Amino acid sequence: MKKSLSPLLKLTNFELSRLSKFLFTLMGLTVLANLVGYIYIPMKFMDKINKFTIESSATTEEVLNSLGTLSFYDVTMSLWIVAPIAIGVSGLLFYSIFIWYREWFGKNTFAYRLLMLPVSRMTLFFSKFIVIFIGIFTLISTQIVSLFIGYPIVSAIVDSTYFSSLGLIESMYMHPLFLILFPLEPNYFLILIVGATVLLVMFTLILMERSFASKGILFGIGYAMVALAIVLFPLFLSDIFNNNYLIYGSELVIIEVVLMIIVSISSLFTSRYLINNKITV
Amino acid sequence: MIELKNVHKRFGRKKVLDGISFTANKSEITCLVGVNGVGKTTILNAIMNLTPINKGDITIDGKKMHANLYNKVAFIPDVAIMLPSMTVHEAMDFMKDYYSTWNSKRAKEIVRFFRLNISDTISELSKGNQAKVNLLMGLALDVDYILMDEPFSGIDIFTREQITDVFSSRLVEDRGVLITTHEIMDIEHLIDKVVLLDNGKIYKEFNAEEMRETEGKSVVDVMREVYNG
Repeated sequence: MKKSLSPLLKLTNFELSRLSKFLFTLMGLTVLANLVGYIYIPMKFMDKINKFTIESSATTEEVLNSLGTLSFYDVTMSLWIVAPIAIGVSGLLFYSIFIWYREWFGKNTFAYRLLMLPVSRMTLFFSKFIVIFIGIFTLISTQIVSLFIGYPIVSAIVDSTYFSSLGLIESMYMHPLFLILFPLEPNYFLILIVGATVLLVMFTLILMERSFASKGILFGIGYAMVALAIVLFPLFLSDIFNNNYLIYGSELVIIEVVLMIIVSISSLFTSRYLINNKITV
Repeated sequence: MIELKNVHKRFGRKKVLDGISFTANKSEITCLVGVNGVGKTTILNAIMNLTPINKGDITIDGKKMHANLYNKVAFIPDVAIMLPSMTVHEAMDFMKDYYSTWNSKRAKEIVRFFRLNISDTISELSKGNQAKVNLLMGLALDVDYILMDEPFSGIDIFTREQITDVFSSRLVEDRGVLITTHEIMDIEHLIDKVVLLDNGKIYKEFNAEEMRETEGKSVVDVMREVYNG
């Protein structure tokens, strides 16, 4: 790698290469499970239609009345699509913890080398943070691409008479998980802020444990609870004051964004202090 | 000069370092000596800012440890510190990427000196060869100071001889070396200064050659006096 690359880029690239195997596994799992869903669910549906038609000598209208249609949305709500998303989310959550602890445990202690690099230790922190986000966006992109591949597969298998006219984009907009994960709405940035805040608080908690051992776990849990209380407090203001008109929805969003930014910045400063002054190999 | 002034360190209730003060100079080999658990490794970790101290000051050429100083001070711990999945060649490339003081020519020299195979994966190397890789990562840096933690621990006699040769070679020439070791006999004749630790304090600090000339005692003799009561 060229020396001109900034340390952050170099470390991010290095962390990415360490994540790649795990990420490719998650991507492969997503695509494979989705493909099974795109083929298995419509085929099973068509089997049911054919069986019903033959056994009951039913007309198309009678079949439709009894079994209804299959939409792409129905397919996306199946476990074949939802389970890989859940696995991806939990996988990356696990990796967010593992990305730190793997440097300390096992046969070798790579934490020594990383902490002795002639770069700011926060570079290390940011490279790990960026890589988790790259992982998140890669999995989201994989899921989106998979849906675009899946739609023609499903529509090719299901007879057009029994295929709901609900389109791909409409199916995405109806899906509770896609609404959160995909950039479909303008307020998607809120989801990103929530994600970044959670990750920063989690990293701070890990650094507290790495700095103060068992005491650090207690500090970390305390810190996470305070952070959570700060962010959730405005949501309960109306109940506390028994006044539904105390804060408008748009005001609440602004307050929440400001509070999450405050929590994120305080997490960054706490992490910087810990990684520079308190961390122990 | 590496300078420690009144350094205190506790692990929980246990006081490990209790007001440690000493200096390690450039172009000298300073040896930290003491029984297990006396705080030798903690001192090296503290110098490299890998363990926070509770009180006191540690400076390197008058400056507190910061990112750029890792280009001036190399630490060779007694555990393998590169990724096990890396080959020796990849580990060298990694160092070259981040350290402006990495000396590729010297790295090749050390590889030849230790007869390492750069395509070997670190996890598959013997403990002795992993120790050599650790030495390679530290000695190939154009640094002013080298800190070594128990470089002979768990190493066979032939590897030990090779490592001993390092101390009399130009690989450490003109650099300040601060070393902790139990196997002092191997390098006793090369040591300039000895810092004897006991119960978290400095029991005695002396020049090895002067001790030999004035009192006729070797470093091991002094150690026997201290630790055998």
